[in-house]
Amino acid sequence: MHAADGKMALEHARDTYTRRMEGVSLWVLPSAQIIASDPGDAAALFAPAEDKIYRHPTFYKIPDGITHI
Amino acid sequence: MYTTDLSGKKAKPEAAITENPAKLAAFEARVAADEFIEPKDWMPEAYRKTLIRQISQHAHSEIVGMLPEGNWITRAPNLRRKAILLAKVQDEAGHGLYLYCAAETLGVSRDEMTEALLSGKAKYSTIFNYPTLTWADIGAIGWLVDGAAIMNQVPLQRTSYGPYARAMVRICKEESFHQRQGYEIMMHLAAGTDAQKRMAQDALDRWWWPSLMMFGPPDDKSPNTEQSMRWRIKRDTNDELRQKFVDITAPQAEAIGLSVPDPALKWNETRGAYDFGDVDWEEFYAVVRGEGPVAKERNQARVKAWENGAWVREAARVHAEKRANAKIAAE
Amino acid sequence: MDSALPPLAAYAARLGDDSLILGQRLGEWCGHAPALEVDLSLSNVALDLIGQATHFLGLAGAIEGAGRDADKLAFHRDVMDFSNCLLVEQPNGDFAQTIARQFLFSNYQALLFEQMAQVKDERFAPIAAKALKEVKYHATLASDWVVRLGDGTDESKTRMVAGLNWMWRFADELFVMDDVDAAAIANGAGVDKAALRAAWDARIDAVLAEATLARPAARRPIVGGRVGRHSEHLGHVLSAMQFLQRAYPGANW
Repeated sequence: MHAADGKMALEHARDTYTRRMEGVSLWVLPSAQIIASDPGDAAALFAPAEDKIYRHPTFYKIPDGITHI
Repeated sequence: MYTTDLSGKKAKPEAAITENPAKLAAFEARVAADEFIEPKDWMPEAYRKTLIRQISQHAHSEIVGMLPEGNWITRAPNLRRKAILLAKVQDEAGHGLYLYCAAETLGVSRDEMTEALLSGKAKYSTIFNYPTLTWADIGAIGWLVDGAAIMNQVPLQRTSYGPYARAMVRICKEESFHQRQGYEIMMHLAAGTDAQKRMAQDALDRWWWPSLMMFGPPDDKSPNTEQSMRWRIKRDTNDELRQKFVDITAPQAEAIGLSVPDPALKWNETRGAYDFGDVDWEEFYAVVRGEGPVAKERNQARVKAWENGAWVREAARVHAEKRANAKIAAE
Repeated sequence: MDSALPPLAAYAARLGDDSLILGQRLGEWCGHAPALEVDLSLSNVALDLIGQATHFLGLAGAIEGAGRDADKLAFHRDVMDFSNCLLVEQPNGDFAQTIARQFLFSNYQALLFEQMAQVKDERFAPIAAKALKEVKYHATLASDWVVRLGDGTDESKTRMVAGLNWMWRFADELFVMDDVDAAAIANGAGVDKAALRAAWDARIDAVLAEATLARPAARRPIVGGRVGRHSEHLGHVLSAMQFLQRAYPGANW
């Protein structure tokens, strides 16, 4: 999105990105202000979570017949 | 709407020979494994250049593509059609925007891309250099041109460059209504009065061949195809897509009682596909060179919009600066 | 004004015609705006207005009860039966002139629909309530542009002043009351437009002040749109808009 000021960015974002009822809130910020992670660091950032499957509900085995859990 | 393989006869493939072989091998392995390449990743210069060219051509096509359809917004035949057409042309503007943003992640600015479009240096899909003469052309564009575009774009959702692929996901989702509304217009016309039916057939006659040209030159004349396929910038060849388009579209025409303007069109039982006549490639290359029937009008419209808007963009910039300075002064 | 329409239908037709003609005007911009983002904004506003026109003209036809639907009213009446205000049929001009028109009109519509959303009539109120959400945004969008252009460069200020001067002549008509308005109010559907004027003035003045612009001088108002006395522009708007319906009578699209 190109815009001269914040208000304009918000209005342009509204006109571009809510045409099909997507979203409940709009956040805009100058792209130069975004600090993104380096793809080279992807392993350090994301891999450590790979084996922590106990964070997902499907990790836990519940016997058949037990419902609403 | 869409991108065309606009390779002229003389275009040479972008060579990747000057790159660091180890980096190149690692890159190609990632692409071969269907991983996405992201803006900060290392990529061969030829990949970056090809992508910038392809994405910006695609974006330009969306923007110039607004003009032939925009030509009928004020004359749409009823309120429903007017709203649909406005929403559709507006979508094209949005798609142009997503694509310019995707191209910007490769280090080219929108102003540079716009400049290339306005100066005639950058290409866009040849189809938009044909005029929209009657209301049926709006139907034909939705049905045939968007139909061809979707065929080309669906595989691009899995293209190797992440920002491009993600833009395509959004575009494909939004475009799902474009082709249907076009076919619906044609259905109404084909089932309407004699005058409407004549209008529909005339539009199909004029748009059929240019639509087949949208897939680009035949595979043996498309120098970039092999490398682009390997780099997953392109996922099917021009001829494969063209065949698929004919196979899907010919029965759609028949179903509403319109005839495809190709005497050679015939179902081939053994191939399980339609045989069809030769595309006039001389016409295609002429349109690529900028000799399309309304190429000058399209360019003039974009130049005028850009020049007439210069003072508006400048005012917005100056106003923002004034406000920012006032804020600093107050702090 | 369409003499065949009963007063309440005529009231709905005025609302519909306002939205239709302005939507039609904004549609002319599509593909030609100063920036891609602005193209999206202007088409969004146009789409909202075409939607409002569909609702209000549909309502006008339903109240009339003679089998005319929104399309019949939009595409088969001539200039003298159109009842939109003169403001909305004014040419787009440059972007400043378009914004001036939108600024004056959307602020009026926002105040109007705020009131109409509360009326007793169960046909008018819901359309107004829906439209209110749309026009509030239009008013903000246009007001922000007035500020940017007014307090931008010398050129943008000159153009914004010229645009406002062009449109200002037609602002008073927005608030003129007549028998149709009185009948609509008596039937629990209408709004006292004259009573909106003070709030409208306050909104306009606040934005103009922020835009460092002076309010255009008061002048003799130009009126007549509500009773079918239009500018020369409307005939050309209609000749494009109604072309297909006129050239192919009786066809379905």
